[in-house]
Amino acid sequence: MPRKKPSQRKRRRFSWRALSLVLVGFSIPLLAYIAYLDRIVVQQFEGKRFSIPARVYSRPLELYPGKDITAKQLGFELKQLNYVRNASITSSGQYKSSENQFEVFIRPFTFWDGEQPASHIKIAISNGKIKTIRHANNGDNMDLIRLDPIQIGGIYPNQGEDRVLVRLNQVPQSLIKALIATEDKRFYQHYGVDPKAVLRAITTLFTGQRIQGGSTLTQQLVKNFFLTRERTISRKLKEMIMAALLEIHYSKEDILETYLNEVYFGQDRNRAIHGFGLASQFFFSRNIEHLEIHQSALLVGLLKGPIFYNPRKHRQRAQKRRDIVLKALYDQQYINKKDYDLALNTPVAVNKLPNRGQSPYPAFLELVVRQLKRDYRDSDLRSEGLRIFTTLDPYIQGISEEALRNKLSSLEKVKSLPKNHLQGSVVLVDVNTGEIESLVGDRKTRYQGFNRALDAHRQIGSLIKPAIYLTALSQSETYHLASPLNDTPFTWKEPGVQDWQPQNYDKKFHGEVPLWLTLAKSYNVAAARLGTELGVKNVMNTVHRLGIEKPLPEYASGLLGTVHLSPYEVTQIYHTIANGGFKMPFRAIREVTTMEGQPLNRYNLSVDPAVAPAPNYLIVRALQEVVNQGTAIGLPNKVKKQLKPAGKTGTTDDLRDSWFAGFTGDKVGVVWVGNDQNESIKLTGASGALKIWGEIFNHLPSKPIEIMTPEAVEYLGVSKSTGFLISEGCHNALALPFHENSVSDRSNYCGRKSTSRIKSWFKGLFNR
Amino acid sequence: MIRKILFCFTVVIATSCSQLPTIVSAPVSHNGAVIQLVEEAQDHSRLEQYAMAEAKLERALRLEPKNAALWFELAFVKKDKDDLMSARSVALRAKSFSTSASLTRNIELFIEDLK
Repeated sequence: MPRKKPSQRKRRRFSWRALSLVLVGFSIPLLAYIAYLDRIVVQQFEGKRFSIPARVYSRPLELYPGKDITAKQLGFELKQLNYVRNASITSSGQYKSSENQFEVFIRPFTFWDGEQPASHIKIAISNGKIKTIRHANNGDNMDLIRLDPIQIGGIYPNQGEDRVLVRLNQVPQSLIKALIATEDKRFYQHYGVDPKAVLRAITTLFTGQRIQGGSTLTQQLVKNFFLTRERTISRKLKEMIMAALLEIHYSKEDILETYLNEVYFGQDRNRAIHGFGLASQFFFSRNIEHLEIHQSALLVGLLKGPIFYNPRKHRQRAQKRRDIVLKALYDQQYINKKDYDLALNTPVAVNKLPNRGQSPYPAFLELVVRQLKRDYRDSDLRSEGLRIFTTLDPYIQGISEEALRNKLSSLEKVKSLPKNHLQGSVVLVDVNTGEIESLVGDRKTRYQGFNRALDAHRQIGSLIKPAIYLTALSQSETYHLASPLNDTPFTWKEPGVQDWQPQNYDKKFHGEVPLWLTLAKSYNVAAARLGTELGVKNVMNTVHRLGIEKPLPEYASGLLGTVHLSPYEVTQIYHTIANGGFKMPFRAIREVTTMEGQPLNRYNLSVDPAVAPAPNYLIVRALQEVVNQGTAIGLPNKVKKQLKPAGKTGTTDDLRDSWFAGFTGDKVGVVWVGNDQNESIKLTGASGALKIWGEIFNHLPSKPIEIMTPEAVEYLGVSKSTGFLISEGCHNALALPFHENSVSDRSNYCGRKSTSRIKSWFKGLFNR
Repeated sequence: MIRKILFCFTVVIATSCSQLPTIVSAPVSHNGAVIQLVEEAQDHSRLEQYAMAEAKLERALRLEPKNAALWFELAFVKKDKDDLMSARSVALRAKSFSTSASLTRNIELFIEDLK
């Protein structure tokens, strides 16, 4: 027995020493580790906590008496804006309508040129125009107001995170109470870690269960903000230490506000919905300030499992979860019995999934991003919350997309082509402003891949011909619309190059044909001969003047469209012609502001006289004859009659590309149809692209061509049968414009070729 | 000053009568929205806020794209901000839309004055 005592003492002394050593040994690295975590917490929490994507908006819809608009168009716009249709209008974001009467409570919005407050208005539409706009409260007339623009996309951080930042004072108390009642009752009492919850976690550890639950809001924030989603003891310990550190450095309000902006609410395609600010818009189309108790409860309930409780897919599940949150609110006396019952009896109602992802218009968005990158760093675009105001018209974009999708499918059936053999693109630009109103780069319009509108550089076939004829008509002493051109066998010889013998599409020669008719019928041989007479270089210079900046090959076959251009570039050429010979660099962006609405950049309208008014006027008239009696005669009658469009078909060798470029008084549109592997599509410009163009313009609000007759241009008669000039008083005449220098002698003939000058009754009749 | 005088003349209709000729200044548009935007543009222009003035006029042009007087007004703003090349181009566009001999003459004078 006595022997044992020293050994016990010795063992005890040894244990204390060991323990001290262990403690010291552990505490030094532990303190170092805590200091390391502290640095991480402070560094990441200081300054900017979130990357805010740039928001890209469509053009805002301007409303004013006299504006051309249908009830269908206005309804479409309000739907796209997620305005809620209600029987009674009480707050912004709501509307009601009956036939041609609309009552709209427009949301407040900060535009580039200033703030527009919320406005409750009544709009009357009559015969496709706005008749009156009145204030709903006093009936006073209004001259002008804008709807807020539709958000058509964003430029997101790499993970596709989207959020709308909110300040704590914007958040309704019901939401904060619901959050605390459900997620962390002792939020205002603990220091980042709740000891009770820790004990619970330890218990589960010893019982062999998975570590779960018990995280405070601060811990959840730490987990989302700093850590991975793994469930391990070490991660949990790290989370607790960091939560405590966070509470040491930052106030409860700061932590709560960050939590509200951080949390995840699910996916909209490739866009991740984060924060209560965006969630309230995503689910209820309203700003967070206007959330009702039952809506706050639903959002809080979603935090437990945004996918599992997704109210759009699992309404009952979501409602059960919401009701648990409401009960917590009531049990903890945050709401009274009356409010509780009212909220409990309100059915779960969320809006339709926007289903737009990062953008429903990826081709247009790509163009916007390319233009922005000239002025902004990529990182700024993805993090600074810039607001980009673009020119896209969602209504017109929708029409373009639908026409392309539907017509490509039907063309495949008609031509017995394999499914998805055809691809296509559409570019549509406002004639007067050069603003891009729609751009489609793929028949799968939401596909974010190869953008054919911008990047498919294809042979353009006969689309180049207006440049040849414009070059000729600019020499008014030599050429006019009725100048006889030779459409007879032609061989072009050039040293070092194989002889070139162009052929017509119908493999025939047509003899002597008036200039306007060779364009209308798209005769290759006549055009090639004319082009070589004028000089390939001169023709290519005209193409440059019309808006093509890149170098173009100056070989003769280029005259028949072996030049490679994208649909976007082709649109620029035809836009200059449609715009009276004035070149306007296209714009996809109007303005950029900061997140707060401070103006940054404007992209000005710019205009440059490129072609003299007279020859431009003549070529427009000739291009109208392409539609009236040439290769584009297949346009729908309604389009031809109402819009008097002008345009040109284009087809390439072996029917590989089908083009149509055309314009009305206010829109210029180019459609390309082809195959990505450059295989034959069995379609000409007339049988393919023209059909799509016709379909678009059949549904598009547009105006007819009305160009003022320039000085020195007069109308004379040409024979409807031969196309050549005829004398005054002849029957069967078609009026065409001529430069006064062009024709010198009177004609005495009806129905025969003539280059005579006829100061005829046509002048009085047509010289508008 | 020349701007004011020219712009007034652009929208002037001289009415002849047996007595002294009277000059009636026609509005730039009959559309209330356009008039509102032009007035706002002129206010900004007076304050040398040319970007804002251009923005307002471009909005007006989207409403009435073939209104020669609007294009001419924009040409004045371009000139005021010393962008003479653009002023000339925009004035030429105004001229192309002009249906009034007096307006056309004034645009030509404006272009002459830029040289």
